[in-house]
Amino acid sequence: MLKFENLTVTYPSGVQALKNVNLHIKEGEFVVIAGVSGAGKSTLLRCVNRLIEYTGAKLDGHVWFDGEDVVGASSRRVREIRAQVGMIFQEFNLVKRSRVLRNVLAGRIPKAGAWRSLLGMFRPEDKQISLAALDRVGIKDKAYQRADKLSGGQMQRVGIARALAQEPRIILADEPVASLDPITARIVLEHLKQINEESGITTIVNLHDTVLARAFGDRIVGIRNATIIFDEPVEQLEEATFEEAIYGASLSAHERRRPSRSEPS
Amino acid sequence: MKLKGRITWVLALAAIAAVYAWAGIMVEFSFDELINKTHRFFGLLSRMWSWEWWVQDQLWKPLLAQLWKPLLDTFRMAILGTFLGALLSLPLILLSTRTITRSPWLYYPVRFFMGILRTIPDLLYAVLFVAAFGLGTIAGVPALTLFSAAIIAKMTSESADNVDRGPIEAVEATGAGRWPVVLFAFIPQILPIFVSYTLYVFEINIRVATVLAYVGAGGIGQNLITALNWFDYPAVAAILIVIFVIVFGIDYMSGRFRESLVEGKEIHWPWKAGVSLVAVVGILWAASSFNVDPERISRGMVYLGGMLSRMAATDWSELWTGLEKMLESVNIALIGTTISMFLAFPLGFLCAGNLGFPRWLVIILRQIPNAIRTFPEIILAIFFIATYGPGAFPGVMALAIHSIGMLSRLNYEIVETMDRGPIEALSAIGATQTLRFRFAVLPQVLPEFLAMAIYRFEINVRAATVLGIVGAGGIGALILRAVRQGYWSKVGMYLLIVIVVVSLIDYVSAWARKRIIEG
Repeated sequence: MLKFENLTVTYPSGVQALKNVNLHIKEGEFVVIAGVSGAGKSTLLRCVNRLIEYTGAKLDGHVWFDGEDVVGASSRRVREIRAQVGMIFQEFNLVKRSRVLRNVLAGRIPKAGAWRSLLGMFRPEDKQISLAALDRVGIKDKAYQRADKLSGGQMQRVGIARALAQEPRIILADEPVASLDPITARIVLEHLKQINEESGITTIVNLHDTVLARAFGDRIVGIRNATIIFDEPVEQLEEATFEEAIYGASLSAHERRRPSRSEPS
Repeated sequence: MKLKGRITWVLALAAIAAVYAWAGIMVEFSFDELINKTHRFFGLLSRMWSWEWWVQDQLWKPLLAQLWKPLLDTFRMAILGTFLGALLSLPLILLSTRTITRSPWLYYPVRFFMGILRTIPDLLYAVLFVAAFGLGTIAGVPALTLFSAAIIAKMTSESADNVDRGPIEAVEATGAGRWPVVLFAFIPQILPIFVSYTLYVFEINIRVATVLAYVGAGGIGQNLITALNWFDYPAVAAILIVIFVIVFGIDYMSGRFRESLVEGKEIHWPWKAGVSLVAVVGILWAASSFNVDPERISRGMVYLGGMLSRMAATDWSELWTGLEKMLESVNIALIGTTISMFLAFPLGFLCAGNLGFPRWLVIILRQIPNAIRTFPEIILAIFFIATYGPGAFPGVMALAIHSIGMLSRLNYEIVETMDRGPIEALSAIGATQTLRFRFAVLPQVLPEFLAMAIYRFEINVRAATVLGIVGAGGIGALILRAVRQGYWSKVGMYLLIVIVVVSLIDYVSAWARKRIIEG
C-alpha cells in the first residue's frame, strides 16, 4: 500500500536526509524503522504525509500511497491523504490546556467537515468514536481532564487516540516513546502493536532504541546516513550485526574488547 | 451533571453581563458619543498643522529653545527618582526574600509594607509631595522614588524567590556567614533581573515625569499645559513630538538592553561599559544639578509629618463618597481594559513573527502598539476630554487606547512562544490553516491573553485613580480637591479606600490569573 521509489530528500542547507530510498510496505504490516537520531527516520515518515514541506526540503522520486504519488499531489489532495494517515509524535503535540476529549476530537476534523469543526459543534458520533478511541488505550476516564494534568505515558496514549479517531489507513509513529521512561515506553508500544493486530492498520514506528526495535518490530528497516542498510524480518536479524549496523563500528569495537579483557590469560 | 454545568455557565455569563451593564452606566459609556464626537479628536489633530507656524515663521525653533530647560528637569526627575528608588529597594529586596531573610516575622511585614507602597500610583504621591514641599521638581523626585522603590522591590523579590538555591548552599557549606552568601551567591544571581527592572521603571518614570506638571511638580508637562491653555495646537504638537521621540528612543534602547539581560545573552564589554558610563554620568549630572534649598527640604519634612498625622485621623463620614468615586475608577479601568483587550486581540497575531506574515509587515505593524504606548494615559485623557467633554467616558477611552500598546506587545510575545507541536499535529491530520488556528493556536493563547488583560486591569485601576486630576473621572478629583483645601482627614480616608480596594483587586486578580493559567 505504501511504496518509496528512488526517494531523495534535500534540505535547503544542501544536506541530503535521504538518498535514493526504495521501500515497500504492505497492508497491515508492523514495521519498525531503526536508526540513530539524524539518520533520516523522521524525514522518511514525514514524506508520507508531506509534513516535510514545512522545512523547505526538496523531494525527488516517488512516494506511492495506494497507487497515488504523494510527491506530486496538490495541496488539497495532500490534506485528503493526511486525513487517512494518523501520526504520533515524540513530544505528543497535544494542546496542553485543552481537555483530553478536545484533543482527540481534533482527529475527527476531516470527517466532521470544516464548518462543523470551526464552530466546535461535533456530531454525537464524532464524540462516540473519540471516546471509543480513548477506551482502546485505556484512558476513557481521563476524557474530561486537562491534558497537562496527565503523565507522559497518558499523554502519548491521548496522541494514539487522536490518531485512531481519524479512522486512519496507516499510522506513523515518530519516536513515540523517546520521551518516556522504559516501562511506560513498553506500555505505549504494546498499545500500538495491539491496535495493529486487532484492526490491521498498517503501522510504521521510528525507534532509536535497538532493544525496543527487536522486541516489537515484525520487520525492521535499518537506516544509517540517509540510506537503508537492511530490511529484514526480525527473526533473521542477528543482534550483533544489527547493533553494529545501526550504531557503527566504534561501539561494537568497544563491546568486543570487553570480553577479551575478562578472559583469563 | 451536564445540565448543572450549563446552568452554571448561563449564570456566570448573566453575572458578567450585569457587571458590565452596571459599569457601563456608571462610566457613562455611550456609543452615541463615540460615533458622533470622535471626529472632534481628528479636528484637534488637524489644528496642529499650520503652514505659518511650522514653515513660514518656523515658530518651533524658539519653542525648542524654550523646551531645553524643562526637558532637562524631566530627565533629572526620572533619573534621580529611578536611582534613589533602586537604592531604597535594595534593603526591601533583601528583607522580603525568603532565601535571605529566614524569619517570617520579618519578611511578611516587609512584603505587606511593599504591597501598600505599591497600591498608590506615582501621581498621587506627587500630589502629596507638592503639598508638602511646594511646587516644582523638588516634589517630583520623592514621588517617583517611592513609586520606583515599590515596583522594583516587588518584582525583584518575586524573581528572587525563584533563584537557584545551589550556589547559596555552596557558599553556606563553606561555613560563611550571612553577608558572603548575599554577596557571592545571591546578588550575582539577581543582578541582571534587578538591573532589567530598574531600566523598565526608568521607562515608566520618563513617561510619568512628562505629566507630573499636572499636579504642579514641574517638567516639560508645564509647557504642554501652557500651550493647551492658549489653544496653541501647533506648539502642542511640537511638544508631543519631542515627548514621543524621547520616550520612544529610551524605550527602544532600554528594551533592547533588557532583552539581552534577561535572556542571559553575553553582553560585550563595550556595550556594558557604554551603558554603565551613560548611567553613571546621568546620575552624577542629575544629582549635582538638582539644587534644592536644604531649608526647604527640612521645612517640607516637618510639614509632611504634620500632614501624615492629620491624615491618620481618617474622616469616616467621607467613606461613601470616597467609595462611590473609587468604584467609578474601578469601572473606568474595567471598561477601558475590556475595550483594549478586544483591540489588542488581532494585533497580538498580526505582530507575531511566527505565523507566516511577511517580515516587513510584522515590523511595521509592531510600531503601532509601540507608538501608542509612548503617550501617558494623562495626555490621552486631556485630548479625549477635549473630544467628549469632561467625565468618566474620556477616562475610559484614555485607558483603552493606552493599554492597546502594552497588551498587543504581551500578546504577540505569547503567540511567539507558544508550543508549535499542536500545529504540526493538526497539519498531520489534514486541517486547513483556519482550522489549525482554531484548534492549535487559539486554545493555547486565549487563556494567556485573558490573564494578561486581567493583569493590565490591575495597572489600570491604579491609573484610573489619578485620571480625575485632569477631570477624567474617578476618585482622583476628590483627592486633589481635598489636598488643595487642606482637609487631611478626608485625604486620609480616600487614600485608605484606594489602598484597600487596590489591594483587594490585586489579590483577587492574582488568584484569577493563576486559575486561568494553571487550570
